Amino acid sequence: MNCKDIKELIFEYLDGGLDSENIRRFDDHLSSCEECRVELAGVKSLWMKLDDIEMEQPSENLKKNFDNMVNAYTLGVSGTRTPWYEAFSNWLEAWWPKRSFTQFAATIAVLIIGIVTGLSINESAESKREIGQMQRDMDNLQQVVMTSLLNESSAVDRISGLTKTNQLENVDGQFYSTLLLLLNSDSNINVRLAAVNALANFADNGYVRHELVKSLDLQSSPLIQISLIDLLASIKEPDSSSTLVRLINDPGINEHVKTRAKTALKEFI
Amino acid sequence: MKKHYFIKALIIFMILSPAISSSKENGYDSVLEFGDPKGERIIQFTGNGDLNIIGYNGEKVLIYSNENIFQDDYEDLEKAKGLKKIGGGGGFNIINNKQDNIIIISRPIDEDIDLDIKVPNNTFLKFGSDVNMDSWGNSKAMNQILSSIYNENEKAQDDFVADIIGKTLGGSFYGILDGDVSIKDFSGTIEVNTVDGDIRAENIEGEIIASTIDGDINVIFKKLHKGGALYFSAVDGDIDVSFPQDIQADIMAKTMDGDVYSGFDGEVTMGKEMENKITAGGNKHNFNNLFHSNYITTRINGGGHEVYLNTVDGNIYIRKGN
Repeated sequence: MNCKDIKELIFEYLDGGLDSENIRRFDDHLSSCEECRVELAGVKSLWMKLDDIEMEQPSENLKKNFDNMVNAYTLGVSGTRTPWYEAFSNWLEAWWPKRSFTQFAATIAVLIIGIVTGLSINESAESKREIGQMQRDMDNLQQVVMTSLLNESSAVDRISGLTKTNQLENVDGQFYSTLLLLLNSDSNINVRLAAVNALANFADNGYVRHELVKSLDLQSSPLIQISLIDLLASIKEPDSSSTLVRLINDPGINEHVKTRAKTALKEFI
Repeated sequence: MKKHYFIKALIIFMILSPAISSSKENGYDSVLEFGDPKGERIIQFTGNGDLNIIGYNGEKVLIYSNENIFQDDYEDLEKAKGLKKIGGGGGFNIINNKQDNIIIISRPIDEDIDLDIKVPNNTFLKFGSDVNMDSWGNSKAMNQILSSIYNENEKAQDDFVADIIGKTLGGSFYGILDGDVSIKDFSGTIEVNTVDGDIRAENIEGEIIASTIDGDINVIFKKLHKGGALYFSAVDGDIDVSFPQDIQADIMAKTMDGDVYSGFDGEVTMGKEMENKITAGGNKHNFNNLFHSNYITTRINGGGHEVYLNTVDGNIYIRKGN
């Protein structure tokens, strides 16, 4: 491997995406090249800082600016072969995420690309490859942001992350899965309650509704059961009827949960 | 995976943990120092018995017990001559993991051990862990979700699974806590989950998340730190929280069989105030409003901190403090 290869593979290396053979060759080169070691250290520290990013909704201006940047970038890349509007619309379709979560990640990705490649700008022949790299970085960054929600060792921090999700709109399936994982598997009951509250923001989604009904069967705490029944009753989810009937007839279920399940059933009729 | 992680953690602890300090300092049975007094410090408690915690502006963790748990009975053992006791099986253990800056005070589950402990302020106190047998039951679902997040990146996924099991899903040390927890004059972060016992926290500055199944929760805040939402949950018990009088908060209370009382002149609504939220996507927010109408919401001094008080069978008291 030469220095150019290292630059190309640096993100994959940091994200653990290289196979062992490539890792060995990567490490071999590093051990003999001071310049690449410095570069790796720089990118790595930036990478770590991304873990601390607060999840925020990009403002309208940011989105506009980003659109403009993408527009300008695409014009430069595609040259004269395709009309700019077609290139632009293709670009948007392919790269511009419909989800605010990734929108934010994408904005950061642009920043990184700027920093990493800005210093060594090459001619447009390299641009296509850069776009591929950009896509990979964007995916990586989405993971980074989501894993930080799951990866907090303190319940206080996980609840804080869940509280912030109510600012998000148009998130994707993976994001729902992350919330549902906390709802079904978190060791802390208050985090599970916070997950119900967070999911209430996304209860218009069919997948979420379906999973909420399934979750009611999994929960053992009366508090979570009641909160889930509250939510299912609010969205008038008819598929929950059979689960509610099961709860009412289950001798092991808390009496108050049964009472709540009965009133919820009446609301469906 | 669980077992693997457990063994790994155990080996690390055995290497890292110095013996329980047997030196007596000011009458305390055990004195512990963090690996890094300036870093993020965690003290974790598991097992059964009452805990009396007092915060202070020192750097050491001071433990006192009336019971004979610190006695060096192992010295009588012929085979243990020349060795230092670093832990016991199923008994009382103190693990000082200096590398991760965590002190774990682990008590047996078959007997009650009451402890009086002085802890440094600005630490993170973690009491027990929730007893959710389902925590480990959904590993299949978890793996599916993780592989969807990580696609084919198996190495990263494996690392992450170890991490998530260690952190989010309760970790390798999660014990049942049967006994009362009392914390006084403490600033920092408190996460307490008990099964059978009262939780009392008095003169607290910082953040608390608390849950008990069978017991009352009593919290008197001196000051709240700006952070995420606070949650207090009981199944069978009252929740009684006293807030500073100038607090800006939205307090959401829910009880199935009980009443809600407040000492604040806040504006009381059924349902959360939504006017600050984006109003686009009509249905979605209607669901959310409807769902939140299950809470009795009090907006105090214009609102701010989100506090959720949940009980199934008990009253909720919201008090105006100093």
